[in-house]
Amino acid sequence: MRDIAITGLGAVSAAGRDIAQTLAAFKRGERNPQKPSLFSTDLPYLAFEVNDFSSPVMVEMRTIQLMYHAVEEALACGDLKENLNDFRVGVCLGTTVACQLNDIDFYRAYRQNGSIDETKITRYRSSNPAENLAAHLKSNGPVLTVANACSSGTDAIGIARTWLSRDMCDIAICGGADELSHVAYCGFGSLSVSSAEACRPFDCNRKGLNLGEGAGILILEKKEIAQKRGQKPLLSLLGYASSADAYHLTAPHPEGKGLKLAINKVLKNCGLTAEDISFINAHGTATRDNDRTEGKVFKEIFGPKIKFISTKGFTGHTLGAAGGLEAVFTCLGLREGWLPKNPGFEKEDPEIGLSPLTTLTQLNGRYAISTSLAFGGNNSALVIGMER
Amino acid sequence: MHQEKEEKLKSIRKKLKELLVANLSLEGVKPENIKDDEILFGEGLGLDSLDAVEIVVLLQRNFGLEVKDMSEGKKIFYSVNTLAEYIYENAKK
Amino acid sequence: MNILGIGLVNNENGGLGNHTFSGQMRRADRFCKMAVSAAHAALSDNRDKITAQSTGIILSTAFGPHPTTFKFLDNLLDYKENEVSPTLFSHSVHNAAASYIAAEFQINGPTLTLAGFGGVFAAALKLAHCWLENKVCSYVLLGAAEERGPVFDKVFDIAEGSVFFLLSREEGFCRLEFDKAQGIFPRQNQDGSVVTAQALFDAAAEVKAGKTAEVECAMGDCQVAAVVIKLSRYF
Repeated sequence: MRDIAITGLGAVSAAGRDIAQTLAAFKRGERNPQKPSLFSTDLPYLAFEVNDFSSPVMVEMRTIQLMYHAVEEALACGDLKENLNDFRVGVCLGTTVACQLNDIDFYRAYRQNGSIDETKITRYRSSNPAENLAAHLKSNGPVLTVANACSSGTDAIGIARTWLSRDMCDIAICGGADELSHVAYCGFGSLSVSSAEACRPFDCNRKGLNLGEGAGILILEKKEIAQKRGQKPLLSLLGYASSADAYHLTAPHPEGKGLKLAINKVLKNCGLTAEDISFINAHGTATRDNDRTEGKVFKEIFGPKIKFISTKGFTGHTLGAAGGLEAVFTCLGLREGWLPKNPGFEKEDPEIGLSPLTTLTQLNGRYAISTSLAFGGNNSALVIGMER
Repeated sequence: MHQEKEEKLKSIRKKLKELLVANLSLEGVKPENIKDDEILFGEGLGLDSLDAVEIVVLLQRNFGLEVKDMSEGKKIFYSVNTLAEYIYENAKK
Repeated sequence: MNILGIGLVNNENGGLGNHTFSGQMRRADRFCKMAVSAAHAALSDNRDKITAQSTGIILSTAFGPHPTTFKFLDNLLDYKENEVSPTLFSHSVHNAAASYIAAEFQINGPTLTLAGFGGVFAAALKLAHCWLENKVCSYVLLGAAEERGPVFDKVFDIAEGSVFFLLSREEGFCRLEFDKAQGIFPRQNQDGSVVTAQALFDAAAEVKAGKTAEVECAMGDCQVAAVVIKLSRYF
C-alpha cells in the first residue's frame, strides 16, 4: 500500500500560520495559551487561539476560513493550484463546530420572540466543510464530512485513503478544521477536563486540556499520478485503522481496548511491527484519563523506550482539526528528522510509567504513527512512511 | 443547635435526592426511596463519571458550591450523607 | 453486497421502536434512542452471527441532535458559564448515537458519524461497500438518523426517524448493486438523510416480503452522479 503518496501539507494553528512558522515555534519550544479573546468569558481556562491567518476565499464562518487557509498552503505545496480539475478529486474533512448551529445570538433572538435569523440559517447550511470546499473547487469526486469528535480529522484521512484504494478518485484533499467555540469552551469546562494553566500532556501533575483551533490538510495522491505530474513524493500514507471502545460516552476504556485494537490492526495492515515505529504523535490531551490510558497502551505495545510527544502542548486540543494537524506534524517529524520536546512535561506519572520526549530529538526512522482517541470511544491510528 | 443542624441536613438531603433523580435521569427511582447512607457510585445508585461532573454542576447551580478538584470529589460524593454534610459546611446559597 | 437486516423507527411505527434500552442509556436523548432502536431491529435476526470486532458502524445525518444542542444553549443563556450541564453537552455532539450503538451491542469495529446536507446517506452507503470490499470488517451497520424540533421546524421540513441496514458480503435476504445512472432525479421534498435511507428501506422491505424479485431505487444526488441501487432477491 505504498502507492498512496502524501504530496501536499497545510497547517494553521496557534503554533503558526503555516508549516515554516510552526516548525520555528516547535524548535524554540514556544507556546502561549491565553484566556480567549474571541468571546468574553468568566471561566479561567486557557486556550490556543489562532492570531494570524487569512482566508483566500470570502466566507463568514471562522472554521471554513481556517480550512481555506490551510488548503491553500497544501495545494501550493503539491503544485496543484492550477490544474486540480484535470483529475478526479475527493474531499473528506473532519469538524465538530461546523456541523452545528451553535450560535448563541441566533438562539437568544429565537427565545425572545420566535424570530429566525435567515442569514444564520444560510450560513449554517453552507458551512459543511467538505461540501463547501468541493463546491468552491468544482471538484468531481466523492465528498464527505466526518463528525466523529476528536478523531474526525484522522478518520477523514482514513476515508480518503479508502477512496483512493478503490479508485474512486485520483487525488484527495483531507484533514480537518475547527474554530474555538464559546459553546465547546463551556462544555469542556462542565466536564471538569479543562485547565486554567498551560496544558501538560503526560505530566504527573497535569490538570486538563486547553482547547485550540486551526486546520490541518493533507493532499493524498496515487503515486503514479504524482509521478506523472513530475512530483517526487517522499512520504506515503501506509495505513489507517479504527476501533470502538464500546464502553462509555465520555470516558475512555480503562484498559484502552479500542486503542490497542486500532494500533495492532494498523501495524498488521502495514506489515510492520512495533519495533519499526520511530515515534508516535500521541492524542495526548493532558486530561488525567486520556493520557493515562494512552500512555499505558504505548508502553504495553511499544515498550518503555518508545519516543512520543503530544503536539497539543503547542496547539491545544483543536477537536475536528486535531487529526489533520497531527498527521501533518507526523509527516514533518519524519521529513525534517527531529521532534520538539513535549511542552509542559516535567515529571513522569507513575501510573503511566513512560515519559514523552524531554528534549528536542533527532530521528532517522522511516515509520511513525499518529493516534486519536475520540469522545464517544472511537480510536484511530495512521501510519506514515518515508522513503530514505 | 444540634436540632437545627439536623433539620437543615434533613432538608438538604431531601433536596439532593430530588435533584439527583431529576437531573441524572434515574429511571424508576423515587427520591423518597433513596436511603441517606446510599452509596452513590459503583454499587448503590450505580452512578458513573458523567454523573459525577453533573453533580458538580448541580452543587454550583443550587448551592453556589465549587468543587475545584475532582479528586476531592471522591470523598464528598461517597453517599447522600457525605454530600449533605459537605453542602451544610460550605454552602453559600 | 447484501442486506441481512433492516430496521426503521419513526412516528408511524411507535416512535422509539421495540428495543429495551440498557441502564447505560438512561441519559440518552431521543436522537440516540431512535438510532439504537433502528440498529437493534436491523441486527435482530443476526445477533449470533456478528462478532465484536467484525462489525463496523456508519451513521449519517444532516442535522444531528439539534434539539439537544439548543437545550445546551438554553443552559448557557439561563445559567452561569460554570453551571451548564455536561450531560447535555456530551449528547449535543453528532457522534453520541454511534457511540451508544457500539456500547449497547458491544461492537468494537470502526465507528463513524458522517454529516452532510446533500447525498450523505448515499455516500455513506458507498463507503460501507468499500469497507466490505477492502475487508475492513465483515458486517457494516449502516444507518441514518434525523430528529425534528421547534427551532428547525420553522425553517426545514425534516423527515424524522432512524433507518438502519446490516450489510455484508455474506448471503442475506437481498443483493444490492450500484448502478450509475444519468439524468435528473426528483428533488426530495423533505430535508435530511432519512428520506433517502427510507427509500432504500422501503425497496428492501418489498423484496424481503416477497412482493418483488427485483426493484430499483434512486438514491438521489450523490455528488458525482445520481446513484441507482438495484435490489434483487437472494436465491
